Amino acid sequence: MAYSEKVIDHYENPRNVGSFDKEEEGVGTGMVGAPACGDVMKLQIKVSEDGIIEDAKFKTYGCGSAIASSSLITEWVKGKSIDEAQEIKNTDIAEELALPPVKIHCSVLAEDAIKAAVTDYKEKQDK
Amino acid sequence: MTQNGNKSIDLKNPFELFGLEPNFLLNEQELSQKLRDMLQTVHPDRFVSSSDQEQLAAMQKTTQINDAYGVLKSPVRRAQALLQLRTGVDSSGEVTVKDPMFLMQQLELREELENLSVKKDMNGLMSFAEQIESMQEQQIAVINDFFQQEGENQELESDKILAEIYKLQFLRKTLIDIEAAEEKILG
Repeated sequence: MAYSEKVIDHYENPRNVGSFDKEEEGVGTGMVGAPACGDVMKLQIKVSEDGIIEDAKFKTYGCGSAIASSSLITEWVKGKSIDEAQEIKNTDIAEELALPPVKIHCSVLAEDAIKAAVTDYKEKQDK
Repeated sequence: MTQNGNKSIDLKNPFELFGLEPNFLLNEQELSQKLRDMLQTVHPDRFVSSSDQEQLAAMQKTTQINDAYGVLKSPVRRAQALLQLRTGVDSSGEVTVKDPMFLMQQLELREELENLSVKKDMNGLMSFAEQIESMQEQQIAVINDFFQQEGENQELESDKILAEIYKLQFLRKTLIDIEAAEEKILG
């Protein structure tokens, strides 16, 4: 299958690969996986006191599209509020990366990961 | 993977086609023996002087047998088929799993695999494969327990079984990746 140039760019030069300490205050961690293809994705956000995402990191084991989707979304969420980040739609990711229909689920996974990270952050704050 | 690989298991019950009781555990030797016997009956050699229609029917039957065998042979697909037979739940679609504990463990296993691949550590990869295989065996036993429980007049808890089948799928994927890493080292 032919990957789009943007997918290849993110795959070869992934942005924001890495981890934060998930116990650290202000860090939200989202873990998601797709059983059908076995992809595993960890996406973390670091949120400032006024609810702005200052930094984001990811670690993904999966195909090029899954890596590109998570790399792109970490770029997009930086500087956004957590509410804005939750509004990112998988279709925006799929469109930006020109994902073929069989790879749409990779963008869904990235959307689910950011939602899970925000949920985790909020749960930590409520404690 | 066959063309039907991702399609939901259709109409034809693969267990029935092979004359087997719809159980999760099955005897692999018995299964491959049945496959050979059944393929014999539809072998093209037996239909050389038959009508086009009969030849076509035999070909279609061959495809059906091979597809069913593919389902029965794979623990994941067999569990999915059994679940669908008993509860009507189709688990072949794309879903997102959100079990943090399990996924964190999977992520760590993939990291370990990555390290072993980078170091081209063949022995390490082989013992890592053994570790995953034994986790897979345990997972198969867990799934079997769920299917057994149902036999004792209990409602089949499809959500719980599904979650266990998903885990098996991730373990399968790790094993496939280990094989790929080994092949890459061996060239």
